[in-house]
Amino acid sequence: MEPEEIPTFNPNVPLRKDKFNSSQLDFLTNFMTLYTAFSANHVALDATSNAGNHNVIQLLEQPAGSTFQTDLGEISIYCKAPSNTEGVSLDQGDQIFLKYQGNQPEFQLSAYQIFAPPIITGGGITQTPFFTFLPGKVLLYFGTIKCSLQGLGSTNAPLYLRPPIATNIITMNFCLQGNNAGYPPMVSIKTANGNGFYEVLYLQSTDLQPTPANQTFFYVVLANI
Amino acid sequence: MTYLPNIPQGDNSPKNQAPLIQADFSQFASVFSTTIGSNKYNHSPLNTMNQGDHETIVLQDQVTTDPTINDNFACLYAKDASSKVGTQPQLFLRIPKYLPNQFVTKNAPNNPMQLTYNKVNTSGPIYQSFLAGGYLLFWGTTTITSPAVSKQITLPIATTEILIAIAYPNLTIGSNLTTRVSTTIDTNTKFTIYLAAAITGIPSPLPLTFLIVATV
Repeated sequence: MEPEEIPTFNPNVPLRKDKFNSSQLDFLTNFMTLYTAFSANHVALDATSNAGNHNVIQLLEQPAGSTFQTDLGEISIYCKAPSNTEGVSLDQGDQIFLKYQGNQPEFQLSAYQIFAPPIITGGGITQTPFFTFLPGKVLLYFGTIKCSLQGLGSTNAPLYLRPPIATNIITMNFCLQGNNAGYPPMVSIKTANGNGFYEVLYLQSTDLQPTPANQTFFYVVLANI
Repeated sequence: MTYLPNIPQGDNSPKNQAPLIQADFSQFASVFSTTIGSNKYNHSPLNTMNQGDHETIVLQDQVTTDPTINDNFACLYAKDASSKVGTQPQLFLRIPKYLPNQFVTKNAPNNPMQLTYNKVNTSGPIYQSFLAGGYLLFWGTTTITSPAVSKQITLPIATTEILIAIAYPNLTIGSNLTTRVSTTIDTNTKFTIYLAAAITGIPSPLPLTFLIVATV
């Protein structure tokens, strides 16, 4: 079976020498092509209301390294596959980027794929992790961890950063859960793994006051990706 | 005036076809120059310097439908999202592909991600914004006045669930001794900050900061 011929928009019709009735097919093709193309993202041209509004905005992946002209009075929003400073893909899928007027530096609006990491248990520790992203390639890890902390020199309680894609820990904060006020834990950051990602923090009890056994902490960690 | 994608047809004379073609061209011009008051919507008008650009983009509510991603593109769209303040269209993002990759082996589906919420509070005393994924962020400052050693705080809007409640004192006592603090999540709108009663010399009122993350 021969493949069905797809009508192609031709902006150069009709020609001056054409007779009107001989241009019928050209008109048909162009009007139908415009109609079909416009309907991909928009309310159809022949809709009884809202014609021209958007149903969805499909942003095609722009080539890595693309630079866009964004003049005064404009904001550009586009889609690219994020890469690191060496141009190596970060395997994040396509993400949304913004560029403000006057060709200001672009920044990444979305990052990664949000999902619910599973609860982590083991060694008497229960961690309920969550994460989301902030504009600018920043991840916000947060959740709760229930553990029995030891003092300095003792075994540390691991707090896992899931997904493990943090390349730089920016800041963090902890708070005890419950009505018995206490000190937040001391936290140590080990070196990054072989891929350059920080996967785990280690919690210890402060020497100021022993932390009760099976204490739950709320935590929040900001990191670059 | 209605756009007709299937014109001209048959053996109509040019006299009869011309108005139909004019109507289609006119509809293009009209759709590309939607203006209400002084505001332009969707696309920049034809025959202007910015033709082909977008003005204010109006997204029709897709209600429950998510786009299929079958190539290298990302989709922005509006879909109904439920929260404790009702069901309203919010801005969603869906990206084309995802895990596993060379660093993370968990196979997470490319689920649509809710980017927005219908309310922010920038005037305090409890500030509020939103995070991608259907989360709400609250933060602010408060004080606890002696002899009280706790204070319950009510969020300005209801959430589905408060996930974390972090509080921290703004002062240090003596040279390096920070006041002890803890929190409890009481309901989907309330949390309580506790101070250690045993420490003497705490300034009163004691200022504290707090940070809350909740689900919409």
